[in-house]
Order: sequence, then structure tokens, then C-alpha cells
Amino acid sequence: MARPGSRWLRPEAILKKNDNKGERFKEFLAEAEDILNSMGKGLLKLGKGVKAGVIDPNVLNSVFRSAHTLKGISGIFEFRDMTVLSHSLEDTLDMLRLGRLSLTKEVLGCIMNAHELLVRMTASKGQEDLSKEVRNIQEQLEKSRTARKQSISGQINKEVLSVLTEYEEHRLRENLKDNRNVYIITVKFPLTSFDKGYASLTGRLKEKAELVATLPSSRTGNDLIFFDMLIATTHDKESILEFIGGSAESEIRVLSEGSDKPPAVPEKPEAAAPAQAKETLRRTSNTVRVNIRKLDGIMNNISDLGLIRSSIGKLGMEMRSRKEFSVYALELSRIERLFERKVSELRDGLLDVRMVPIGQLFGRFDTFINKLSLETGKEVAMKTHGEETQLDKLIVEDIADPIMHIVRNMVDHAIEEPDLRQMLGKPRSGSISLSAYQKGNHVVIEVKDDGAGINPDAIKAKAVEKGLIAPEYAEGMSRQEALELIFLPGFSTKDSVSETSGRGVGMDVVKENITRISGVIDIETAEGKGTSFFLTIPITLAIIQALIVEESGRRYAIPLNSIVEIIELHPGLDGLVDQDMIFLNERAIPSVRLAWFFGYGTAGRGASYGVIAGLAEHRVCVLVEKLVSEQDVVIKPLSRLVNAQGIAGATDLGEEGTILVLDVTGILETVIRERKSLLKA
Amino acid sequence: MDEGKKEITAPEQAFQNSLAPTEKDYEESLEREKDEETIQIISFYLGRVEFAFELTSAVEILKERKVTEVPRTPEHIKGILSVRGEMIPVFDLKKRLGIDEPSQGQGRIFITVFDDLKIGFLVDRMGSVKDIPVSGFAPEGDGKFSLFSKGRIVYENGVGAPMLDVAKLVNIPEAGER
Repeated sequence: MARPGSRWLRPEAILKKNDNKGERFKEFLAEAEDILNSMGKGLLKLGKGVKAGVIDPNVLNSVFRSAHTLKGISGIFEFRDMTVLSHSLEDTLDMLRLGRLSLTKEVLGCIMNAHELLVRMTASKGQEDLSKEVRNIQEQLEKSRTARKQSISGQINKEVLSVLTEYEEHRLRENLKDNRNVYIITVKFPLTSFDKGYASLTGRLKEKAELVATLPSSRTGNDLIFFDMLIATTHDKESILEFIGGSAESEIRVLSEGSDKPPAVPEKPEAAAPAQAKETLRRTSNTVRVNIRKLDGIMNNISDLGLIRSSIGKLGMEMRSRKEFSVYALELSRIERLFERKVSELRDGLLDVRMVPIGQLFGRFDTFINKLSLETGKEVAMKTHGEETQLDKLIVEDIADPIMHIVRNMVDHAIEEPDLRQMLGKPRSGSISLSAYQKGNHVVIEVKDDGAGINPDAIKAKAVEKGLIAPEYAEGMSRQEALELIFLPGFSTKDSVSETSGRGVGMDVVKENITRISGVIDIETAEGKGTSFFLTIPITLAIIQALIVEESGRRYAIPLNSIVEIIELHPGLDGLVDQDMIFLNERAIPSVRLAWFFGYGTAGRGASYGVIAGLAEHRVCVLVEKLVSEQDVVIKPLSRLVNAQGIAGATDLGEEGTILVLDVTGILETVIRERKSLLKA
Repeated sequence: MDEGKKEITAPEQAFQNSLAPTEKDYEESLEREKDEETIQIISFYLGRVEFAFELTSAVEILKERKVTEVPRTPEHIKGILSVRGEMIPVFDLKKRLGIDEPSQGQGRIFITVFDDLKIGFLVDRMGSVKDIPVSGFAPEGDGKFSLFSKGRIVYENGVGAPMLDVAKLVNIPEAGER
């Protein structure tokens, strides 16, 4: 019987073909995101510039280039909406940079709307139909282009003008308007090396002047090439000549010298702006953009190396017990230790690669808060601290949305209107501050507002009203417990339409997202003064030290980070160990037998150890039969389809199989919740 | 080829046909002109009933192996399996569909993908990859598995198989639902 090759099961080969196109589109989306990111930063700078009355041409140029590039690459992938919109945006930006249109607040507003729509397009991966919104923004942009700019007639030599491009002419006029000195420097270079000399000169000149145009000079000489460089500067002729020095043997002519009126100074262009460098395709940054899944793959290999090392170690131990092998055993041990050190260094290096400063995330909130501020009509300013604090890239992405929801809720509900704030003696502008600092193996992120604060009694009342808790129960609640009610599902469904209605997200979702990455969220508030949310999250989930325990024939891993203490249970401790509680250091800690928590029987075997674990102020005692070992494990998240309480993920221990990693806070919360509901019943 | 064989029922015939193709089938399939657009499916068996998934959802097939149990999860979730470092949930498909037939021998874990999620389904036996012309699909209607299927495939010999929908099997809520 023939076995037809292609007819049989080879799905992977078929899948690979379709995947390449998908891969390239994903790369395109990542690139688009980057471009839009830097465009966003540029727009913010322009916004400040509009307020100050001075626009930095470098920033405008770079925003223009971003739109242009976006138009190009979206065209390749036939992403029509994006191409059309970025084209329209490019037209407006072109007019701006050529001086044919002034950048007013209205025009900038249009541009920002276009930018936001582009961001939305990229986020929805081209699957949302936004053609109506695109037409809308296109119309806005067209309208904005009709506002013409008054041109300034200048006293410029017609000859010079005739050789300049429109852009160069615009720059020349701008500089004249700003009262700068405009000079023509004639420089000469040896023919064979003029490119290097020219590049070096322009590089240095950038510090002192703007290079408006470079024109070939009519002068000639033996093996020499001459250029006329048109520059605008605040410095005077002599200092420029001196600055250029002997590098070019130049001559300087004055085109226009500014009067005593001080020239307008644009914001210092960032050193990173390569606008006037020589044309090149080489990028200046020496970073590599890597798909984080590749790093995961490498991490897997490293953890496999770790398992191999421990096999070597075991072999060494066995050999040591036989006299004839003891010499070799010693050598093997030495090699194993060396191996371990190298694997450790490799692992640390990789973890380091995955780390990014949290400032990367904080930076995104600038535009967001601006937008919220405009939407709600409230004035809000943002402050950040601790931007250098480093976190695993994946964790940074995981906390982006929760922080966004918190900030949104703050602007929507906590921060008062400017008039009200003034009446209360607060500054008209509310402030939201994002700070981050490292605390051991965790990072604490504080999101703080100076708004109205949260009233625990109002929270209790609302929870009772919504039927989430029984009234009698509400009576006995502590202040902290009352505040935590906002994390109950169903707490914050809108009962009135607000300006940002429909997009508010409950705090229960926020909490769930934080717990999913083994973090905790705490609240502190002072009525009338403000509220702080503290997110305590692990620095990296990639690899952690864990304690392996055994219970009802199964093994589990408990992250060492979250273990406070381990106690050995023996008859003498009876007074301290209750059915459900353990009393330690005058503190009652809820305790639970792990087998019972998971619904397994214990086959009559007693618990010998109590693992006291917790994060921040929360504690739980998990009772287990045996302690097995301590080792480094790479935690893998469980699929989001598997929603298991008390479980943070799983880890592959090679030959020993896959075991579950416990989520200590999850266990604590479930235990408390279940016991409370028993009380209620 | 099979002249003189006693009459056997259609499902059994399909069962036998799928066990291995013959030379004739192979040559016929090569000659068959593909005028019509076809969709590729991959079929498998739960007990003696045949089912299928779209080939684009299929990732790989593994021999049945030990799956790490996850407590406090629904009964049809057998647990999780570590595949090249990735934790993939494994569903017992017979339990999920309510099929109560005993397994015979070693099963297979059929790993599928939906969006960015990978899901493994424990099945009894694999079938084959087939090209089904678009006209060969019919809506499942009130069939027993309509809740979980994208439609029903009807083979040329009249026998059919429900084409299961991974998303429905794992009950992924619609985006925006909360």
C-alpha cells in the first residue's frame, strides 16, 4: 500500500508556510508602534513649544519623517487606512515645516488626533474597520491646512534665494525673524578627503549654529573643492571663524547681522537628533530589538543546563561512595562547581537582558494623562520618581493596563474640578505621581493622587446597597477591610453616566491582573487629601528560588521570596496550633492543610511542617507533610484557560516531571473568603 | 479491490477507509482536479465516532503521556503538559463532549491553537488530513455536537463528521464580555 507523503499528517510543515507572512506583519506592527511612540514624544515637545511660542524645527522634521516612513511601510503591507491617514498627516506636517502653515494649538490638536487614531489602528492589528474615523480626521486635517501663514519679506540677496530649496528658504526666513546672524562661510577641502572634512566640520558647527544650506562655490583651486555654507547663529563672526579654526581655511561673509534684540531661543535640540548629520542609513543606536519569546527559549535552555548540572552532581555523589572512583569523583565535583558558576552567570546575564527601566512605562502616561485631562476638563499634572528602577519586560507590560485603569479612575473620580479644588485651598491642577523603588526581590510601584480620598463608610454603604455584603457584616469591618471592598467584582458598575463612561474598568480586574503576576495591591487613603495604591510585584518571574514540598503524594513548589518562616510541627506546639489558625509572635495567622485546600485526601498522614508565607502585610500558614528540597525553578504561567486559585504557574523539573508552583497570596485570599462565607451561612 | 466483501454499514466503511489509504485512493486524489476551493481538515476518533478540526488550528500531535493535574478545575480539564517549556492545558475531549466510550490502547494528545492560545485535546486515535471542497460543508443544525462545532463535513460516500470549533470547546468568552 502506498503511503502518500503529503496526504498524511504533517500539519507543521503546512502551518510554517502560512506563518512567515504573519511574522512579517507582526514585525511591521512592532516597527509602527516604535515610530508612533517617538512621534508621540515629538508631539508632546511641539505642544510645549506651541505654549512657549517657539517651535524646534528638528522636532517638527522628525515628526514629519515619522509620518512619511509610516506611509511607506504601511503601503507595503497594503494597510490602506494607515497609508491614507499618514499621507494626509504628512501633507500637513510638510506645510508646517516649510513655513506655509503656522503651528497653532488647533492644528496641533488635529495632528494629535490623527496620531491617536494611528495608535489605535496599530493596536487593533488592522482588524478594526476605522474608515469612518479616518475620513473624519482627514477632513479635519484638510481644514487645518487652509489657514495660511503670513510670510515675512526679508532683505535677502536674490541670488542666494534663487538657489535655495523651499525648505532652506523657510529656515533662512525663520532665522532672520528670530534675529540671528546669518553668514556665508566659504570653506575649502582637499578633493580626496573632502567628505570626511566636511562631515567633521558640520558635526562641530552644529553646536554653534544651524546649517541652513550648503552650496557649491564658484571658486576652484588645485585639487581642492570649495563650498559656501549658509549658517545662522547667535554667535558673532569672529567667534565662528575662531571655532572653525584651521580645519577648513575659510572666509566668512555677512549676510545679515541681528540687532541688539535678543533672539528667540528654541528648546535645546536633543543631542540624539540626527537631523543635520550627513546622510546615512547607519543607525546611531546600538541596541537590538529582540522578540521576548526568543529570550524565553534561551531561558528554557539555561534551566535545562541547570538540570543537567544536578544530574552530574548526583553522579559525582554516587561515585564518591566507591573507593575506586573517589579520585574521579573529586574531579567531577570540581568541574560541576565550575559548571554551576558559569550557568549561574549565564542566567543572570539573560535576566539582565530582559530587564527594562520602568521609566519606559511611565513615559507612556504623559500623553494618556493629557488626554484624560482634556476629556474631563480637569487639570492634571504627572510626576514620576524612580524611573530607573528595573523590571522584567514582560512584567512591565503586564502592569501597564492595571496602572492605566487606576489612573483613569483617579482622574474620573478622585481628582476634583479646578474650581472646587481652588475652593478647598488646593492648587487648581491635580497631581498624579508614579513612583517605583526596589524592595528586596520586589518592586513597589506607588500610584498616588491628591484628590478627594476614599471614604470607608461610603464604600461600605455602596457595597451593602449592591448586595455584595450583608449589612451586619459591614458593621464589624475594619477600616482597611472596608477599603478593600472596592476590589469586589461588581462593585464599580456605573450607576450614572460619566464623561468617560463605558470605558471605566472595575478595580476587581486590576486586582486580578496584579495577582496573576504574583503581585499584591494595597490602598492607603486620607479623606480630602488623596489616595495611594501600592503595587508590590516580583522583579522577575523568569527564575526564582523555590522550596519543594510534598503533600498527598504530589510535589509543589513555593517561591522562596514569599516564605517568611518554616516551623516544625510537633506535639509540643499544640497550644499554638488551632484547627484553622496558628498563633505566632502574638499574631493569628490563618492556616490550611495543603491537601485539603486542593480537595485531596491526606490518607491519614499528618502534616509535619508549617510554611508561613506571605507578601507585604498578608500572611498564611500552609501545612504540608514533607519538605523535599530547595532549588531554582523557571516558572511558566498556566494558560489563561486554566483558572486555578492558589496556583501561580508550573515548572518543568526534567526527569522529575512538571510540578505546580503555589501562589501564596491566592491561597490566603481563597481561604479567607471561603471561611468568611462559612461564617455568614 | 474489495469485490466480494460482505456488505458493511457506512460508518464502518468510513472507519476502514480511513485506517490507511490505498494506491487507488492516492492516485485518484492526485488526479482530482481542484476546481473548487477546498479547506483542509484533520480528523480523529473519539471511540468510533469521527471528528475533525480545521488544519489551520492544528499544531502537533503527541503520544499520550502523563499530564500534571491541576486541582480545583473542571473535570474535563485533565491538567497541564509541558511542551518544550510551554505549559499547555489538556482537555479530555470525550468528557467535554459527553461521549462515554472506553478508550482502547494509547491515545493521542492533539495540540491545537486558537489566537495566541495553545490547547491540547486527548483523543483516542488520529484519522487523516483531507481536502474538503467548500460544498462539502453543512451547518451542524441540531446535531448532538452543534454547541461545539463549526459545521458538519459530508464526505463523498455520504458519511460525515462534525468539524469542531476550538474556541467553543474551551468556551472563550467574546471580547468585551466580562
